Amino acid sequence: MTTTNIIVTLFGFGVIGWIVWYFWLWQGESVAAAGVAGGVQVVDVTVRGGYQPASIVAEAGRPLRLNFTRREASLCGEEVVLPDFGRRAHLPENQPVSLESLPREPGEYEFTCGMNMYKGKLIVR
Amino acid sequence: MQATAMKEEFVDPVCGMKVDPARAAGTSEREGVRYYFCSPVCKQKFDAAGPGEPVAQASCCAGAGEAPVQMPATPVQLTLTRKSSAAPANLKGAQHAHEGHAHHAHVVGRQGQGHAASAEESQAESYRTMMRKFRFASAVGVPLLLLMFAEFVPDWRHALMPYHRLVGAVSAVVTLPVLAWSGRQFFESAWNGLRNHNTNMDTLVAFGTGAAWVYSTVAVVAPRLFPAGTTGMYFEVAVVVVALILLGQALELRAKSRSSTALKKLLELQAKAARVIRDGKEIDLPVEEVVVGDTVLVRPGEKVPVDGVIIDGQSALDESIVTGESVPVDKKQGDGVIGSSVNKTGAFTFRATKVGADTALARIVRMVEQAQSSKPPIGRLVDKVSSYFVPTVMIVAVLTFLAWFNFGPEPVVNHAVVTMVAVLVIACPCALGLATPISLMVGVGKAAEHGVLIRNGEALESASKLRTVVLDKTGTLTKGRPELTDVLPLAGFDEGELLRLAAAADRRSEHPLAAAIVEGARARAIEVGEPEQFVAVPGHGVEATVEGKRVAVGNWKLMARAKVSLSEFEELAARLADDGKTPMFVAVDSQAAGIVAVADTLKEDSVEAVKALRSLGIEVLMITGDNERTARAVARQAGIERVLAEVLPDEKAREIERLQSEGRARGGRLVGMVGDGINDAPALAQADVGFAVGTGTDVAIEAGDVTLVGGSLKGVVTAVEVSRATLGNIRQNLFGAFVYNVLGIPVAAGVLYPVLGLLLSPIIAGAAMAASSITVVTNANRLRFFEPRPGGEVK
Repeated sequence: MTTTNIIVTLFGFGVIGWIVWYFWLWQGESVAAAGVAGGVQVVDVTVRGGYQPASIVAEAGRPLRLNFTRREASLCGEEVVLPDFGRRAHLPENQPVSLESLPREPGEYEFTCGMNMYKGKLIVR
Repeated sequence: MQATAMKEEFVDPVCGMKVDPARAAGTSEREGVRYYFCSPVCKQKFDAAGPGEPVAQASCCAGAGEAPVQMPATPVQLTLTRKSSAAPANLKGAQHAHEGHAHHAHVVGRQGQGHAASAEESQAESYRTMMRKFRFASAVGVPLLLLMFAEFVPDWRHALMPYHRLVGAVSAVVTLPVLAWSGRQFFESAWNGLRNHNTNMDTLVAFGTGAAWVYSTVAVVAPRLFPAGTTGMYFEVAVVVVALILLGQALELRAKSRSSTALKKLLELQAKAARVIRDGKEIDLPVEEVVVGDTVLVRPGEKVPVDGVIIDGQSALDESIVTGESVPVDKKQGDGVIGSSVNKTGAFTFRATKVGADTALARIVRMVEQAQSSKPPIGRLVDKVSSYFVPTVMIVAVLTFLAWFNFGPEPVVNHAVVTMVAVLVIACPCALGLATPISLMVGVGKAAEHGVLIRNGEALESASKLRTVVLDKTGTLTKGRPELTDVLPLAGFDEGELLRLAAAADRRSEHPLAAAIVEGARARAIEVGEPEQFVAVPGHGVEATVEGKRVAVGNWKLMARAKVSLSEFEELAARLADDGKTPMFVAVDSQAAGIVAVADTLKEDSVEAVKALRSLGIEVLMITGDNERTARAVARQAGIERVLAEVLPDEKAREIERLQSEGRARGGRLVGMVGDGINDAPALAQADVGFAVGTGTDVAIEAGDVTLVGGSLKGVVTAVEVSRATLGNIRQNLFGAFVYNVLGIPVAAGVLYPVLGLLLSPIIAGAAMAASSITVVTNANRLRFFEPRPGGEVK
């Protein structure tokens, strides 16, 4: 084996490792909810091939408002569901839709699209 | 950001109106937060309630928090925000507040409708666009496909040979717009997904079609870069896949666009106006302006506007809208009445106890909303598969490159690149993409042929996993209206005479039980005469003179009133009640003459349907608001063992939820609910699959996932059978598609090269793709021969 072969092979395995990490192991960065007057925590979430941010940190016991805006024509993200809070909303393209809930118990809650493809996490502390 | 835009708007925490701080009628501070009010009344109420008391919170932001908070109104939440309870004593203030409320309700209503209309419009527009894209893709794809098939004929292949590169060049040019326009959404979605670490169906389509196009184009432009025998072209594959997947998505979208307007419909059923007595004067008010404590007058034939308690008068009320019970209920002073029920017989006045968002009907609306929103999402099988498939294929492609690069023949780079791309091309989801939509289309169509309308693929997938089905009693298992079942004369009377006298006495009565007796008599070819004198005794029965005899037909109370000895009736009556029947006693000239019994009987095929469901391994339950005894009797006739009786209308959904968690504990056993009434709507929405009886109310139909057109319970059996067959078919298709991929990918990777010197030859790739698609389509078409068993033939 030449040096080139070794470098290319190592690079190839690097790519494989990257694929595994990128698609299967990646965990998004968390964004903390910001407070506004009246004690409501607010986070703006963009829906575009997934949720940005996909991981949200919020405080328990304070009302939380998630402003979802779907910024893509694809119908995948058309619905957003917070199963644990019994909330579901239809997201028209480019129109912010607010979902409000009161997370009482600390823990991790999922929010997903209508078909469970896009996934987001709500971490309540 | 959002927050700055919202800063200037506050919401009155009492009534939910938006308030401009500059124009607020008052402000108040609590726990460091300033609140703005639309009117002095709201401020007064807010100040009167202690911190954390629900009065403020419930109306301004349902479910949002313990403490009152300022929040901009969202159309989703505030459709019913009218808080009751301004004291009628302060009439002027109250009216002022109500003007505000009415205004608010109006604005919100309009927003809500606008939202629904625009959603419907945008879906219709998306459908039209998709169909245009589909037609364009197929206009290009079909000729290319024919050309590809022509290459399979050796003579034609020879004839085409000299033009091979020309055909390729033309194909490359005409297919590019198809990918760019028709296929654009796949590429966009794939790109967005990739940036978010997601892969789905779209990634697969974009990858496959993109790789096919690039590979083929390079093969046309620079065939010398390719090792011998690998300059195949796959343009037709790229466009045909785009076309077929677009078609599938368009069809799915159309099915979905029958979106739910159930909630809107439910609210339309409310009475619009109320006649209220204030200061001794009768005034007509919009129902929104009725306050708790108002005295409301209801005349026969009118709808009860809000919930309350009767102060004066008596009547029979049809409460079927909320309770599902078809037989009107007799009500007198002190009894509760439900808003939106229909007043049948007498006039009465009642005191309003619950208005606006607190009424029983409004609660049902909220429950349907809640149930629909808490339904867990169902991931589609193929999407789940592709989230593993795409990265795996990418990994295999890289490994292929490495293998050829390190161990392949010269020129190594060419071989490595070609085989790597070939792996991506053959992984193109032709069959994988078709596997689900084609079977679904055939399955849903097959169900529709048998009178079962399945709303979407998810409902079908869930229906195949049902292990528990809950049947509503009235109107679902039974016919939903009383029928004459027994005529039991005592000594001295014969059946015909007893029925003739009873029917004639009942002829003028409007009570449905009486109507059932008259109809039953006519069905038995008995001529029903006119009564000479007729008195309806509300809550008791009727008294009339027939053929010169005094005939009384009614319940125990009527017999007691007419001083008829009941001892002879007792045993018979108890037996009838055990069978779930309502005995009506008949007395002639103050002598006990016999009993005619009326019951809501089972639909003809209910028993068969229950038996068939059980033979499919499904546990069948019955749910009803009726008393345990009647419920048991009906369940026994229908062959059902588990009965949930005396379930209040708003508890049905909770019972379903309980069964669902029970089912989850037993390994993902899904729960279906079959119902017809508005009171069933929350339970239908809550269930994993809601089956609405087609003869039932629109609201139930829209809350359900499946509609049984004929109203027969056999439709549930058909739905389960079709869905199981379809899901089996989809699994076979996915399996078949996988086999092709599993076989094709190694060939593309060059596994056969060391042995046979074979790389991804166009013939093999083309044949494999065509064969896999044909297999999938053919297999899906097998579903067309599916016939549900007739319910009776159960082994």
